[in-house]
Amino acid sequence: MWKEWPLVAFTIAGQMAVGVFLMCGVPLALSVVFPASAGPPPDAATHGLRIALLALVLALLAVAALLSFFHLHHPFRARRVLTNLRTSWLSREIFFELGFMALVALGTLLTWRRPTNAGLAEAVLITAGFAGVLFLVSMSKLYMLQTVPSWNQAYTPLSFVMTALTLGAMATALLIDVSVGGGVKHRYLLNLSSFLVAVEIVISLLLAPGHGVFGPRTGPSLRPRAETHRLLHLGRLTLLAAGLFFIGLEAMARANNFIEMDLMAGGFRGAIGRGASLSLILAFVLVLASEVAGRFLFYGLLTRPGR
Amino acid sequence: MKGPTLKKKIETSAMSRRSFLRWSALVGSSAAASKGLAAGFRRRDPRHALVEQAPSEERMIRTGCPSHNCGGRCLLKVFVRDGVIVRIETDDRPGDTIADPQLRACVRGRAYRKRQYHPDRLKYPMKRVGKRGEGKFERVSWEEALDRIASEFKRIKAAYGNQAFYVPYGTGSYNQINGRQTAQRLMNLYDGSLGFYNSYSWAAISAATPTVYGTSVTGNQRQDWLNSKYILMWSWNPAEMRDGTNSEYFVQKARERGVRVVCVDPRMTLSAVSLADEWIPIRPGTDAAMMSAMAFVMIQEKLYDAEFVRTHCVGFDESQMPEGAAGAESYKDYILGTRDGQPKSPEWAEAITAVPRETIARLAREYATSKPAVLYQGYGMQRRAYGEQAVRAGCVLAAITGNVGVPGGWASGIALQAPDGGPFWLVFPTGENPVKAMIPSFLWTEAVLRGKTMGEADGVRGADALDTDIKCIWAVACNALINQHANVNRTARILADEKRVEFLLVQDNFLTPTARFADILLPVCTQFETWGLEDGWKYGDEVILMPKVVEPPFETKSDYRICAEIAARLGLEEAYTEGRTERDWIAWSLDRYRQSRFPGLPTLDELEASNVGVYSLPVERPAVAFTDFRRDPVKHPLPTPSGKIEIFSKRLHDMNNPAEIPAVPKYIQEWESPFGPEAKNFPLSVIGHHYLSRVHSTLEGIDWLEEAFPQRLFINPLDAGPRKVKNGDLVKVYNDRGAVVVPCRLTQRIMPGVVALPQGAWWTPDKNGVDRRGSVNVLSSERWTPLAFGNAQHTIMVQVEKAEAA
Amino acid sequence: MVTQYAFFFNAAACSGCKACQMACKDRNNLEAGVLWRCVYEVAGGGWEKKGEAWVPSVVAYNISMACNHCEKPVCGLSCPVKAIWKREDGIVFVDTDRCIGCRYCEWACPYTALRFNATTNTVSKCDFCYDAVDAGGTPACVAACPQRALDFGDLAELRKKYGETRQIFPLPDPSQTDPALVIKPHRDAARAAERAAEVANWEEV
Ligand SMILES: Nc1nc2c(c(=O)[nH]1)N[C@H]1C(S)=C(S)[C@@H](COP(=O)(O)OP(=O)(O)OC[C@H]3O[C@@H](n4cnc5c(=O)[nH]c(N)nc54)[C@H](O)[C@@H]3O)O[C@H]1N2
Ligand SMILES: Nc1nc2c(c(=O)[nH]1)N[C@H]1C(S)=C(S)[C@@H](COP(=O)(O)OP(=O)(O)OC[C@H]3O[C@@H](n4cnc5c(=O)[nH]c(N)nc54)[C@H](O)[C@@H]3O)O[C@H]1N2
Ligand code: SF4
Ligand code: SF4
Ligand code: SF4
Ligand code: SF4
Ligand code: SF4
Ligand SMILES: [Mo]
Repeated sequence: MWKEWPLVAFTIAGQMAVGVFLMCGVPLALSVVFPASAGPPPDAATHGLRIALLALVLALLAVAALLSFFHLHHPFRARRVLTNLRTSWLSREIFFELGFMALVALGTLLTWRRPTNAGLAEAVLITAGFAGVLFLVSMSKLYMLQTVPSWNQAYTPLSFVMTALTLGAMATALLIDVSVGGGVKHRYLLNLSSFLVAVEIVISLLLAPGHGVFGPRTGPSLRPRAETHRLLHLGRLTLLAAGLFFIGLEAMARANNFIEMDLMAGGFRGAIGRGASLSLILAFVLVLASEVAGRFLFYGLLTRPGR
Repeated sequence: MKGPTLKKKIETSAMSRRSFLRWSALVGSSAAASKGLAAGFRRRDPRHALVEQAPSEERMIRTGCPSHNCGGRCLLKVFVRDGVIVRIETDDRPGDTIADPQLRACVRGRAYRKRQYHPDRLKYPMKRVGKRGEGKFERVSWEEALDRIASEFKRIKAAYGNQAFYVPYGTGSYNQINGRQTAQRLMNLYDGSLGFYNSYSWAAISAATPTVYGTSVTGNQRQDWLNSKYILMWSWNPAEMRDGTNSEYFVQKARERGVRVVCVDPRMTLSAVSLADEWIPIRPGTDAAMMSAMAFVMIQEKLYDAEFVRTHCVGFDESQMPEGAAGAESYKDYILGTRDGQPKSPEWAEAITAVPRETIARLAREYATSKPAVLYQGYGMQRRAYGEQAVRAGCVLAAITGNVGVPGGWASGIALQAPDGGPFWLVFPTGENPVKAMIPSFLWTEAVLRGKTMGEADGVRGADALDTDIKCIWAVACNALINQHANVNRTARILADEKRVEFLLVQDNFLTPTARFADILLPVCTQFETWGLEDGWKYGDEVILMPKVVEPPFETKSDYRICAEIAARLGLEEAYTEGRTERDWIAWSLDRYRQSRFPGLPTLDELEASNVGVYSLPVERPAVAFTDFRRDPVKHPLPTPSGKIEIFSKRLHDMNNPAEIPAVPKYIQEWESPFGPEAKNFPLSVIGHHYLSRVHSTLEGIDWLEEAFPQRLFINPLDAGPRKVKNGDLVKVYNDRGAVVVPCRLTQRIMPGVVALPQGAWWTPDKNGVDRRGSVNVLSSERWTPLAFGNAQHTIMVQVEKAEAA
Repeated sequence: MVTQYAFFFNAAACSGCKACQMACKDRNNLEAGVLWRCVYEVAGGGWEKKGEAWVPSVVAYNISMACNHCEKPVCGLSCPVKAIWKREDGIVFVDTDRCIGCRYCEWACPYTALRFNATTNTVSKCDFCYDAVDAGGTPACVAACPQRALDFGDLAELRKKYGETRQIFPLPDPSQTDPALVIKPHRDAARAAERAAEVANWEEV
């Protein structure tokens, strides 16, 4: 289980990248958050933020790709990894990751060079969004193996999507805070984050047991009885709950009153100035930790004979 | 490089079949060639299979699997390259018929390379530098070692006389040239040493069988099992202990022919799973009770063969008591309880054996009515307190059902193979032992402690009493000083006392628990590194040649060579060697086989040149023991006092110890039993069964074997639960004699109240004296059986609790 | 012409002695921890005390299992670099020159036939002793079995000789991979599921 850390890192970073992109990239393209392509050219701060968010997505994808090499025992042979798109979900996963990355990179480039071709940038970014979703899908399919009953169920795609959305929403909110300071503009992200974390808690509570956490979910096959990892599961729930508390605090505070919020949060953020609130940072760290715990748990549910 | 890819190579492999035929000898072995021990473990990458190599570089030699006391004798094909064994295959002679089946190796033979090239093999002569038993040694030259041995021998001979020498039971090698027999030969030339009789294997069964039949040759040739209708495997586990290569296969074949097979064993053994239709768990040490109850049912329901009993047996009832014993309790008296008031009914037996009364009755009927039937007695049930009784009880069941002397039947008992007792293992001449005194092999610690007080009551034979205690032990191919003897902690204390055994010489391949007590420790080559010759383990009609396959590494030598060099220092070299090399002795031994059971046996040169490895006599019409006696008991009487099957033994009667040596077979409660007061503190019985990963303690520490069959305590969940022991936990198993800590395996395949700790693991005490490896003899008792003076190492009671890691 | 090599396994006769496993290890120099063929112990059931007697309802048998050279080798189908391929005679190979060691095929194979080999840093598995078979010989495991419980040959032939069974408890649903395997079941296999049997020797496989 612990030896799967490269996969834990890869899947979480990759999913978070998709999530961040869905939270900002697509809205960006659709000009919901920032009326960019349609209206007058955005101010410098907004533009910088756009680039920063896309850069974050790229960075996450690059890190994910890099870390995934640690999982391979012959990384230098990996150049052939796309040769089996016809039948291998692993090939496909890498294909969509690379495709997603390339499209995001192109979109970033196009967005950067502000003046012309907003439409093309938009199209590229929307395509990237699809690639990102397919990346998620192939990742889920990869694990939904008939031979691993504890993976071969709805919990797998659900948890991958939830990781993407939750971490995506929270990371986006955090980045906005860091770069331009908070404010009403992304309050919906905070609300969304609270909602998503709450949903994750519910899903974990409801579905995880069937996922094999509390008992064998091995079915008749030559696989050992899954070890139970109650501690990881409980740890994950606790972390999620704590994350929910802090993010809820932040969201509520902002909904009510700026100044009070600042007082309560006691963050290093001025009323309008830069810097993220402590509670938001805390919430992100907690939820990220819970995802990591959850992912280790996930890999722990695959037990196999041999060493 | 950049030749064709692996894929290409494999694909073309199918096409280049012809070149493969040519190279078949080297297929599958690694290509890179380097010398030395370590090279034995180069990896095989299939790529190398096709690397061009001169075929002559790899030789295939057919040879016998090293002749340990392993339960089988199998043929190996050993592949040697550059002086290193690179692969081992087994017998693939075409045909593989029932009459002349292939001698296929077991898991141990297949793993043998790992023993051959084990880094821990003894390489140089050593002398002890620490306290005895501490295991501290220093390398010395052969000169120094041999000089020291000769001077100690001379000193002890002068001080105590030859009875003070002892070459103990040790079963590591029966290949003629290696093994204890080589030392016994020298001792006999050196005016002798204290002898021993019987074995750790078959003490009770070999003493008890002749009390019924007058002989040990009570077995048919095994192919005859296919003529049976019913086989009761009683304490018999051929799938694990083989009992002659192919025994398990013959039973399987019999079963395929519709023979019903039932297994009576406290453990659901591999044999119970693969050979039996039904498994009957029985409480250890109670077999005689169940057998008696079966006789009860047969008598009540008149299922026994009254006619055969009348014509061929004595002592069944008062009408046929032997002369001088009229009025004594007959077998029927005992079974029906006419004297003691206790009918040996299934109800009675159920409470003792934990076998349901209906089951006992049903088995009695099945066995008595499915004729011909085999009641095969394994040796586990006789390596116990009163093991003699279970043996005799089984023989009597075979007799009263008339299964003696008929094809498909079986007389039970030790069952050496008809017509001549089968294999004879050792033909290497040890000569006469000028010292006539002998002790039972299991009682050597007594002879160390109080030899001078030992006489007939302690089983001494050949002399009224011993003149001296044992002062010098020369252990060759023996781990039975410490590890395989009972009550290890006690034995270790005895041996540690340098005033008792004054000189202890050990010859082995490894630094065993016994070898740790050596004063001088000599490195012996393996049996692949010298010449050898072997025949079947118990059954079999074959002789297997063991040519020298590779050179002895480091400073190792054959036991024979070592003895010859000691002999030279005692002025006996010429007498000892008679000018023969190891190979010459094998030629000489072949002659012995040729002069007896195998007249058609080729010469050594012929055998070596043909590389067939084995010479066998197909068994087309299996011999059946007691055929003549069955046909005409008057003309062909048994070698018993009465000439008949002695259900009642006058000889035993005259020993006048009815409580422990009854004249008819009886159930006697064991001295350590769930029914005794000892069960209060030590409620669980332990069986130290023979394990597939080892030959006793030989092949210990081989990772491939440990992977396949790890050392652990087997325990029923019903016993584990209340002890809060989970599968895989470390447990402490202990009694008054010692404690071991091992991992446990929870299994339904052992009856509640019984645990199993496979025998043979090397005693590995920690600083508190707790064995961390799981040597069952830390727990077993040195008490011997009454009639045979045999080991009762399976009779052990213990407690089990959860243990902490050290 | 062989179109699909296959194994026959007689579970009724297999003692679990592991000679097959060891023959394979010796032939292929597989260090401890790598088992191309291994023997699963399936056991279950329990005990009941009836009066003074102990009555078992224990079931137990063995399954000696290597790669089944499946007709639908999901291992190869899932491999991203096509390092697993099937020869014309059905034998499925791992190309250790190509394998990147992602171990995905290990997850996909329901028979846990693929084993990671730390010396090559790739997965590895039974190659049907192709070199011996190509030379007209016998796979080492088959030739090893003291109970003669293993056989090999063309799948169609084996089916003719031994029947169609290719699944016993708790082997996976064979439709997943179409294993080239014929089994003679042990009598206990039929009641294994109802007696809550399971693989009992994880420490060994
Ligand atoms: N693999 C392997 N094979 C061997 C050996 C080895 O070390 N390893 N050693 C060889 C040698 S030298 C010998 S002498 C033979 C020994 O062969 P055996 O003495 O027959 O072997 P054991 O394992 O001691 O016992 C056989 C069976 O008896 C059962 N048993 C124990 N106590 C009782 C009892 O009270 N009643 C009943 N009914 N059953 C009982 C055990 O559970 C076991 O399954 O094996 C030979 N074969
Ligand atoms: N508790 C318990 N104890 C038992 C038994 C039991 O069932 N339960 N079984 C008993 C039985 S049946 C037996 S037969 C005994 C066996 O007891 P031992 O006769 O002591 O048998 P092994 O333990 O095999 O030890 C043989 C030694 O010979 C060494 N050896 C092997 N080949 C050679 C060689 O060629 N030359 C030399 N010099 N050494 C060699 C090996 O390394 C090993 O150390 O154990 C008995 N002990
Ligand atoms: S039964 Fe004995 S001779 Fe045969 S392979 Fe096993 S260890 Fe060797
Ligand atoms: S060698 Fe034969 S009997 Fe032994 S475990 Fe393998 S298949 Fe079963
Ligand atoms: S058994 Fe597994 S490894 Fe072998 S071919 Fe089938 S799926 Fe592939
Ligand atoms: S481990 Fe090797 S053979 Fe298996 S899927 Fe990965 S690359 Fe393919
Ligand atoms: S066929 Fe060869 S490689 Fe495959 S399991 Fe048998 S011995 Fe091993
Ligand atoms: Mo023995």
